[in-house]
Amino acid sequence: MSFETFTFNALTDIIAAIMLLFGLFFMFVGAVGVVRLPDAYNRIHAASMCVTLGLTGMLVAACFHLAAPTVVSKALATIVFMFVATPVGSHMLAKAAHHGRLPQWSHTLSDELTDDKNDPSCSVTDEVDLREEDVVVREADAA
Amino acid sequence: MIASSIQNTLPQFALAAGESHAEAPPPEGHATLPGWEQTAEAFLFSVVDVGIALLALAFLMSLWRVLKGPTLVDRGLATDTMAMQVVGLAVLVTIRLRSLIFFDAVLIISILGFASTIAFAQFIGRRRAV
Repeated sequence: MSFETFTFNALTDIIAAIMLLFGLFFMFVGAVGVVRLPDAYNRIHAASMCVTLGLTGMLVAACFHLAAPTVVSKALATIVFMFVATPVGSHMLAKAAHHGRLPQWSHTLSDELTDDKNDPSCSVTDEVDLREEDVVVREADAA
Repeated sequence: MIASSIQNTLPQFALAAGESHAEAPPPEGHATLPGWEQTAEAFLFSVVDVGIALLALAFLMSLWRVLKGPTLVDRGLATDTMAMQVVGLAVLVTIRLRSLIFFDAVLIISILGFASTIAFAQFIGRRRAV
């Protein structure tokens, strides 16, 4: 195994393995966080952040190993979509949990959304904009 | 040496991508590969094998959270995590098999996971109860 045989394919495979290890570490840490963290808000943090980094690493590894234009274009589209979609989804989930009055972990230090909801000078309210059909359903439930 | 090794490794996924102009025969074993290349590929494939086991374990942990999760929010976020782990498994299988048949699933599963998370959040938020 002399150094002359160190080809381009060997280099890309080694980079792919390193990126794959990076991605796998974050994916597994995200799963451990989903199981172990004490609170749904903390679990949302673990799930979204670690999964975003982990999948990015694994897709970059796939780009390096199979250096084909179809792979690279699809992986880039997936990475860009995921960097937009995952924060939006986890933010909506956390806001829905707060609207549903999910209690926080006892060691959580601050809850600024509740402060803003209690502040009359702030535009955030606890009311949900109900559509017509929701009002009809609620009145039918009450009747 | 380098050109022949590239020609030997290319046609497998070129064929899988539906291109018909790959005229080189499939590689006859990897005995002709240079030593560094063989070592690097063996290292990458062992990482992929370990990763498949690790992601399967992570999938089971998320499934445990779906089954146990005290609130709907836990079940929703664990389902989202499970979708992303299925995407990771598809990427690993793509690297291992050098075929592109699973790689189309990556973008589709991530879009479906995002849509299901949004639907779940809307459901919880309108219900006003976790």
